[in-house]
Amino acid sequence: MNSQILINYIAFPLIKIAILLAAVFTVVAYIVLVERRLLGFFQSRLGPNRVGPLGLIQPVADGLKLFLKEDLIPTNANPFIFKIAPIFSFFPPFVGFAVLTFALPLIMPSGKMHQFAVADVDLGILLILSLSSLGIFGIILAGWSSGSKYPLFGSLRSASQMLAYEIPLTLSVISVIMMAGSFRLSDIVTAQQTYKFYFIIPGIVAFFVYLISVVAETNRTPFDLPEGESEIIGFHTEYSGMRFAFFFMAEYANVVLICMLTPALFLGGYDIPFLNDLELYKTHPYLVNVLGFLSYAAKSTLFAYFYIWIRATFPRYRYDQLLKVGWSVLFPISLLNLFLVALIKLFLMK
Amino acid sequence: MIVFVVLVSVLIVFFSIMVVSLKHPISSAVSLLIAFLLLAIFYLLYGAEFVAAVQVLIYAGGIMVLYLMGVMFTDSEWIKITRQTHLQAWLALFLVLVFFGYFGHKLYHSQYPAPAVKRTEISIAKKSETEKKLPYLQRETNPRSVSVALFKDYIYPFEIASVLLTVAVVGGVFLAKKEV
Repeated sequence: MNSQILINYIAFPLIKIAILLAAVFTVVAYIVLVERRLLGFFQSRLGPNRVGPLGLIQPVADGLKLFLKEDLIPTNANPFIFKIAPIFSFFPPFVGFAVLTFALPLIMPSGKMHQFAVADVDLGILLILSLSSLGIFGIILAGWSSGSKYPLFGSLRSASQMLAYEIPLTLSVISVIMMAGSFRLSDIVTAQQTYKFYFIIPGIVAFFVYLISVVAETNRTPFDLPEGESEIIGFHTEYSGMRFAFFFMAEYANVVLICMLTPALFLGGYDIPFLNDLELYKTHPYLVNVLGFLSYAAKSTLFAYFYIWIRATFPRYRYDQLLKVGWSVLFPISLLNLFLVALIKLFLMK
Repeated sequence: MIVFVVLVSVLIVFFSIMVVSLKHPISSAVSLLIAFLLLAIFYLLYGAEFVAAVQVLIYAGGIMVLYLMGVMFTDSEWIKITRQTHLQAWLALFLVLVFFGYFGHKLYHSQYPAPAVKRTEISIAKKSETEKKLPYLQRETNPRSVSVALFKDYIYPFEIASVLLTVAVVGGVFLAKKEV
């Protein structure tokens, strides 16, 4: 095999994947800490601050504790499915990170362009949506294979919740796809840069539907019925140790994925506000790369803060209210909005 | 590539047989899920990325979830004593062989690659000024060619299918309602 092909198609992507995964795992570990501390501040207490300065080594301690715990499998459980169910939950969000683009392409001295993404494929957002629809199997199979009826009820609750909210979520994302004319995430950002407005402005309704649906899809308060940490029994009751940690990490990886996806879809992604990026890119490409990356990071961080803020603010919905909101409020609104966005695209977006 | 195609095809057939021959309904459902995912890989191998993604999104992610939920409500003790085969199996085997022979014959004598259908060229004639500046709209991508085929070349079958689906939805609601 040609060594050039080996470098371009195997070594280089592998390095990219390693860097991305290291970054993602770190962020996923630390968003748990950030959330616990912020929730503490919201409730006028300190939150975990004992392990290391400002509690910064807390994720390591938590991980170590979960890793050393015994891995129990209940007698009634179906052992094979019980073991593979966490994997179904775990892998979709981490694969989803591969299609995110973090900045405008890097121009090498040789004139070649390098995308700041592992795989900036044409299907982009569609890939994330279809993978996240697979994550539901982890929950269903986990609840069923535990061999106990309360996890089964928990998983059925969660399956119908995720089905109900997946449809408005997809429809509101479709309105963004329609405005941009492409599934590819870098194209969606390019469209926002070229039109010189962010898609949150024509898609304000879609943004709110999207926001409510992603909170429900990631199983967080006010829609955290699948887990129901404090009173109702969730699908992962029978899990312990590392297998439980897989579900836990999958949930937070989903949160991080959403926090990075939302800016790209609605808030311009790596576009720098109040600057004409594409003009500046022609003269100072590296500056735009760095500033764009920082702006993307800032938008994602602000959105993550907002996401935690939601959790600290709202009480939980009752189950029938939750399904009612999903099917008879969000679903019609998102359909109507799709029609509205089509009209906007046809007549206003010149 | 042909190795992968054969491997994936054999696996699809294997898991499809598992769907009907395994005893436990959850095992059947998981086999069906694996068969759906393998079918998506099969589409990917032939370069139909959009169809592959939609296969995962709708069949694996949507329909299988409903199947699994339905299966969970069945009584698994009762299933253990139910027979898996009955007398119709011989009739079914006969019919399968007849159809397999017929389609095999047709496929063997068919033209490959298929004769070119007249396709609409991808051109967005009424592009606005900003759209002309977007570089990616000039590129032909897999989703774009699928959409042109659906909404230009085969618009009538597509619309008729949508009417059929609406009829099915209305019928389903009608049947599920206790009082009309």
